[in-house]
Amino acid sequence: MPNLISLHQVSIGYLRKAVLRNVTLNIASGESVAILGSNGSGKTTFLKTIAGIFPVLSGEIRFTSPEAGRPLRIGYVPQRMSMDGVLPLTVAEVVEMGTYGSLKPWQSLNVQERESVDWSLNSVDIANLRHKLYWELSGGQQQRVLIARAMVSHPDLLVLDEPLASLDRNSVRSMVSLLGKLKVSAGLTLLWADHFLPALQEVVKEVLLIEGAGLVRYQADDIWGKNEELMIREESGQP
Amino acid sequence: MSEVLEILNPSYVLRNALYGGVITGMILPLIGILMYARRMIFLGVTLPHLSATGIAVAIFWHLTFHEQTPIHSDFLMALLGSTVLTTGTLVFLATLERRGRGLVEGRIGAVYILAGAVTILLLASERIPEVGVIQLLRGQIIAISDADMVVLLISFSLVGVMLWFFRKELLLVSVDRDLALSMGKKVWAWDLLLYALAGLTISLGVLMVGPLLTFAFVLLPPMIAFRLATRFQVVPLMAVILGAFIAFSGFIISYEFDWPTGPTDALIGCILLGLVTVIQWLGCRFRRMER
Repeated sequence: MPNLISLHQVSIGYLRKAVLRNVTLNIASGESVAILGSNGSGKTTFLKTIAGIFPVLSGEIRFTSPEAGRPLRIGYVPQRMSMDGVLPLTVAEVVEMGTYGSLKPWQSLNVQERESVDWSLNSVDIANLRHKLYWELSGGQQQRVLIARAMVSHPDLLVLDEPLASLDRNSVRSMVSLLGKLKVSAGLTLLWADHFLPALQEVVKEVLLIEGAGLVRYQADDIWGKNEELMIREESGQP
Repeated sequence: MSEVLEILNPSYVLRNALYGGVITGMILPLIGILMYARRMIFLGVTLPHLSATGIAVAIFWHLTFHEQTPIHSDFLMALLGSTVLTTGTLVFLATLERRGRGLVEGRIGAVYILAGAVTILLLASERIPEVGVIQLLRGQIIAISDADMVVLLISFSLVGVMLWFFRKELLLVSVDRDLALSMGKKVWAWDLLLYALAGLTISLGVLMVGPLLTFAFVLLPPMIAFRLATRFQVVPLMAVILGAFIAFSGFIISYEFDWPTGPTDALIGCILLGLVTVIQWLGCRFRRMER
């Protein structure tokens, strides 16, 4: 499979302070890669850099589209969209925001974008919630809305920042199953950050483990055996 | 009723004050919605005062270096001074906020104090003829000339058109900056546009209706619209209608009872907000009791 993303000697951080240094790795089309590490280890910074939110401090990231003639499409799912109940944004309005990247400033949503919104809401099973206010939904439902917003641009790569955080056990299972289905049905490559959770085994085949200021790549099957050790490290806050 | 008919007559002597107040009441809430979305409401209190400082600085500068005393014709000069100071400070504060240094509220509070102190000190200067400047700082809604009215109409039309054309981008960078960046949007450019529009609108608002009512128009119609709306798309229209209603009804009441227009408008806005809050609270209680 061709590489969608190639990092060469990349240093990643924010406010000019490197969190991860000299990262060199490739992520191929169709892969499902999890980046694991304790709180504050740099998982979110890594994902935000891949999504284009933070600039690279040094080194080079090369993005390659699976189709010639267009750039790689990246859908970014944040950990949480902070809305404290002030803005009356409906689910459909939040998902529509995902189409703004392909529209000119003065353009309104046309038929094609509206169809994409419908498809996206259906693909994450929340079409029945489209008129509900975003902030009235449960944590799991809000997470699905943010995934639908990222899916609306028909991405090649879905970057998810702790999509399972603060979900109960049933919601975790249903979210992992949804992401597994989306990966197959939409031909997605998944890159997500999370804590070490046994539930990830269903979807994740490759793991990037943050060790010090670097990333070490493991086959998921090899690393699940280290389950106990990793969980102890994570609970104690060790890198 | 006869007062309403008299006010609506095209030859009514204070028609510019009425039209100016209503237009101001329609445009300021649109900026307020975006400031709300950015959680910049505290800044919304400070900006009108900063704008007043800009007016005082511009007049002081003009009188010091040009040795003239044309107060009533200084609308454009005051607008320029106010817009430059308001927009510049907004950009400066936003830049510091993005860098994540220090306490945002502390900086805004310091700017508020500085603006108030500088305005009072400039007013105390012998160079500034007090009566005319105070009229500008309070909002010269009654004294607005036809020429000033044209400036106001052109400026607010420009702001309205820009807000409409770029509504998606301005909402996106206000609600979810990270998403905008991940889409490759030039967030700094949209921020700058919003700050320039906010600076111009608030400056015009202060010149027209004074700092108190400017803040009231920025805050109250969006607050009421957010409470009533079941989707975001209708919020701007609701806020514009509410702003126009507050300005128009305030003008009639102040004319009828010979009250100052600004505080009357602000009071009506607060009463509306209170009414909506109480009715919604009672509605919730009633629905709970029914269950």
